[in-house]
Amino acid sequence: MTALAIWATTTQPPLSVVSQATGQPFSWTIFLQSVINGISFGSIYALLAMGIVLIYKSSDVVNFAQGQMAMFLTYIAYSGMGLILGINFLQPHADLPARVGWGVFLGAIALSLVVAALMGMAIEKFMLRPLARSSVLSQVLATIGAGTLLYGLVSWIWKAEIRPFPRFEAVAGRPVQLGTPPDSIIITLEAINFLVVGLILSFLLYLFFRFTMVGTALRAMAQNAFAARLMGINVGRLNGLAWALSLMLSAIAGVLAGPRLQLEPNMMTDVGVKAFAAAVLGGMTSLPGALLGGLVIGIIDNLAGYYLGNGLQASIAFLIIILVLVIRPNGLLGKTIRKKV
Amino acid sequence: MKWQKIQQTASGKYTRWVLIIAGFTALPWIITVLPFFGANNYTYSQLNLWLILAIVCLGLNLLTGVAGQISLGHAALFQIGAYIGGYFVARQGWPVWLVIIVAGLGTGIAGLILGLPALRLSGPYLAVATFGFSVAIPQLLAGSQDIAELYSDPNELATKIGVLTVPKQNLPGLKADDDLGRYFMFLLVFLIMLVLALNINRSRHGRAFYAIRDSETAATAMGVALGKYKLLAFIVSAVYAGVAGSLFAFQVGQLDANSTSFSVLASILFLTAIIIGGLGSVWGSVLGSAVITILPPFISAVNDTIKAAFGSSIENFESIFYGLLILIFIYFMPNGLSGAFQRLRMRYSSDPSKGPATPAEPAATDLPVS
Amino acid sequence: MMLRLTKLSTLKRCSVFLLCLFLATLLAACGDNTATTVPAATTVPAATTAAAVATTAAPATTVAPAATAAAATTAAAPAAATTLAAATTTAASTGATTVAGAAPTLNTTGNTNGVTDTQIVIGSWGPQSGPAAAYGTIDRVIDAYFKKVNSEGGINGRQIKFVFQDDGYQASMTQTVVKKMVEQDKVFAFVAGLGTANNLAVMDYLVQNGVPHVAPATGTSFIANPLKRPIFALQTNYLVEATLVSRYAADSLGAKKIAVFYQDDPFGKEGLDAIVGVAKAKGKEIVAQVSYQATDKDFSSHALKLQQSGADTVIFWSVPGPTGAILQAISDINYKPTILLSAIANDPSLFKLSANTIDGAWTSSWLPDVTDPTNTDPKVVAFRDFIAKFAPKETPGGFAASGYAEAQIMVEGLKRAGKDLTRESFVKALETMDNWKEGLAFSVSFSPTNHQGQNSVYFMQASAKDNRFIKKSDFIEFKP
Repeated sequence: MTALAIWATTTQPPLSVVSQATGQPFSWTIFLQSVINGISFGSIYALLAMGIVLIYKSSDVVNFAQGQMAMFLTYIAYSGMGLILGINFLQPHADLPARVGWGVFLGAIALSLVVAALMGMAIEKFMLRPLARSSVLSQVLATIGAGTLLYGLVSWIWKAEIRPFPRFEAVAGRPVQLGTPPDSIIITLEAINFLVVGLILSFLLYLFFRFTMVGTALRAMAQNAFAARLMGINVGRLNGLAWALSLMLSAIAGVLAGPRLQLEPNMMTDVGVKAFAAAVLGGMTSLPGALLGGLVIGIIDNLAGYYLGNGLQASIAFLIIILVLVIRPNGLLGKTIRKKV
Repeated sequence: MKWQKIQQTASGKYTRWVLIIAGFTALPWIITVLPFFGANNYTYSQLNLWLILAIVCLGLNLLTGVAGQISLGHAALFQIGAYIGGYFVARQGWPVWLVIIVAGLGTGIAGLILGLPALRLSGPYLAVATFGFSVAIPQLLAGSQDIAELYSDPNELATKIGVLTVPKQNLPGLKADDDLGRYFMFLLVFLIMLVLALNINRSRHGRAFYAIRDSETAATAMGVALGKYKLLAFIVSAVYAGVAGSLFAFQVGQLDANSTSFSVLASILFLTAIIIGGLGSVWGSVLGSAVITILPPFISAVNDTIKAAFGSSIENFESIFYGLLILIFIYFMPNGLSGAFQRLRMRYSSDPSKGPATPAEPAATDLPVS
Repeated sequence: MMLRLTKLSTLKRCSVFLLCLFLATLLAACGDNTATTVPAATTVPAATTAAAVATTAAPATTVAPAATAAAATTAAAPAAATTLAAATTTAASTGATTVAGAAPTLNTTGNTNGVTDTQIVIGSWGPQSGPAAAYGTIDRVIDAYFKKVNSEGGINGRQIKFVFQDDGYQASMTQTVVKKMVEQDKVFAFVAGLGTANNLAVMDYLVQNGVPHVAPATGTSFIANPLKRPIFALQTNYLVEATLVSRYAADSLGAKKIAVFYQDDPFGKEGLDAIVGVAKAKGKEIVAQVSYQATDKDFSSHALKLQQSGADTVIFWSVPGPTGAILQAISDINYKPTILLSAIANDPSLFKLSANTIDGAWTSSWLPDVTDPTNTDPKVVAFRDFIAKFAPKETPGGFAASGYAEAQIMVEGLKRAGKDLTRESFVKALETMDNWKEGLAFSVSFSPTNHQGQNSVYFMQASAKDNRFIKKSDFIEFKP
């Protein structure tokens, strides 16, 4: 009773126990701000996670190197900017401007997308098709091997030193402030951009899968590759397409998040891991699941970081994922697939 | 008369084990034939790190190669073993051999916890769950000041900054920093773990593990209690990692929770070692870990050559090398080194019975998708 | 569980038997006994058993026994040829006594390792790969500096041969490569070995074997405190630096409520410890201690926490990448405290990494600002010329400057030791350096009772307009 009374008299919600970690009274503004910050980074996780899901759906391969591939593609975009601006981008102290306009930005994205598509198809054809009948472990290790190789190559070509990635002018403006301080929530244009691009891309993917011939074929293949082959679907080419799409998503994620993550060979290590966790959390076979998973991980990460301490941020995120998985072994939105012997 | 009987008993296999033990014992001297290795503490400490890695790989091989459960969390188990071993030696002053056993058992319990999600998860889901373990343990150990203070004087700088010192351990009567002495200590532990691994592989439990790997459904149908055996695989594997971890603490003499030796990179390195050696093969794990241990000096020598030729060395050259190595083994030698040796032996042996003695070790590429 | 002796096959029984035998042999060989206790019937080849006993019989020397040492010099000839062609004769003659010696006085017999009439072998370690590969610059610049010295005729007629090994930033690898360099490559001394945990891991070994280590590339105060005879620290250590920084914040910048943002590792914790100490002494309140992991990328929750703590001053004990990111995150939520940065973060790249949100932040440095184009200090000009000529591929920033300064101390020590170079004379020579200002470092003093070369920093303020840090104070000496 006394506990209840105390709870009633103070306006604090039950989280007060937790918020002692910060030594501050609980405030919904902070809570909301954390959630918004979480959604911002969560959109980046979601983009990579959707890429992982695309690959897994089409070819049953878990791509552990999605982060490293995104990292490589970000370097490509960076070099594209250097090419357009006529700056030697290989120098570690290359002097790219802090902000770039529409022309340079779109040019760099286009170059990165083209490379992503070619790379995706090449990886599928030369790396994973030969392993089509191998174990999960060898496929996983093959992608890890490819990621390690990319990491080494990038450090070789561009050097391992950290460098700033130019910001896109249109979203580099002042953040939006809602409400009056101190009870105000601040949203950066970049964060809005992350979320909007993430939502648009997932909507486009939905339209693609739902209404196009190729999309339908991809869905058919995901359900039963053998039957799809019998129906005259070129499974190999479709797998290549899925890989290309997946890496293109990663390229966009990399270019968007580049200014935040800063260009270095490790830029995607943490992001890649969280994206992977997001894909699994969402169910590994569901694109909306991956989007949801990414956002959830971003939010949990921020809330845990604020209320429980930053030292344990990642641990708590993973603890929650493991719990969710133990309760729902196929993720939040995944379908239970009965395996035939 | 009697002698003949002894000779009969001590046929083939007996001589084989004599040779194996003699070979391992003489290894610190034999190895000096190789380039990069002289008769000095550098060589011996490389051998010690190899034995430690080999013990981890023996355990991981039981779990991944034999029972078919993927684990990206072994570096965390290794770390737990190191911390338990370090604690009992540094603070409690327990005898080393007892500490090794305690570290093994303690880590076994951690393995049980790691294995619990495996009861319901498989494939990528299990990979993520074990990966999470690998992320969480170093954070927990690094973040907690209480743990640091369990080890050493809280007022010491090293404790404050989270680097825990463990007195280096050696065979009784030897200097703590004598790597050769430590080699024999580690060798003894390694041989025990090796014999155990060979035994498990051929035991009833081992056969159950193989059955689970090949088909969970079929294994259940044959009366294998899936949950029990999966957990058992995790526990046994964790015991190996824990024993190796405690040896690592004795070898290095300090524990830093954020070290790459305990990060998920280490977990991937362990997996690479068993892939190189050949999944499912006990001797393969030993060979694979040897390759992983011997590579760094070789790689840096290659990089030095590049530097001499082109003026500058390559940053992260190691990564290029490891990446290629993993890919080469997966594509061209899916059975690893042990598979290659077996093929050679089959080719040059006239006696077909001298084929694989362990239950057929299927190629990595033949494992079912689980 | 797995091993039931009664049900074992012949093979297993034999292996168990052999293991017991092996154990018995080992225990026998490891006691204080002599060769008589080693059973003749063991499977161990006679030579190796004898060797093992020899090791135990002479516990004072940690080197392999004479028999194996001889074997090694023949067997490892190719290795020796590649690593150390000129010093082979020295190696062979001193092989057996290489590492004998005990602290605190350096063993003077046979410690001319790595020194011949024409050559000195100097070693170093640091990451050339892995997450910390960017630090590789330091060793590469030192290599270039020694090339410069060699091209000018070397030191007292000797050329420097520089051996540096990649340890991937792993302490266990550091131990291994240091042993290799000491015992196989026969290095005379180390310079600029990198990393806090890495240095701690090899400290005992270096001290026991009397191998000098000059100017480790880490700021941990453990290097020179307590004093270890062969170890000489150059850079102002983190404790001193953090103390000076937080005193500056309290005294000159009017800090009242201080928050600390630190990396969750030895480097960050050492800074935190000092800052908390100063705040206590000065009666200031520490309102938040926010840690981050080196791999973290999303700093929004950290920024929010700092803001909510209500701190008027935030001290960042973090490395450049995350510092840039957190500064942006702080600016995104309109939080504008007084900012102080650790010297490790005062890299010119930070202006771009933080999208200029660093403007107005304070930082300290123990080296002159080499990136300031208006700086015409002859020492800085010499550094720029050196990078342009000998290491054109390296960025002439903080890492390169510290490598350069560290190599200078090494070379100065070798010069002072003169023609008769031993480890003892080298250490004594370094201890004669008093307020030495000819190098890039501000002022270096060593003495038999002090091995901390520099104890001062100066303060700078970041200016986005000029795109660089502007010097705001003179060097401030640390007084406890």
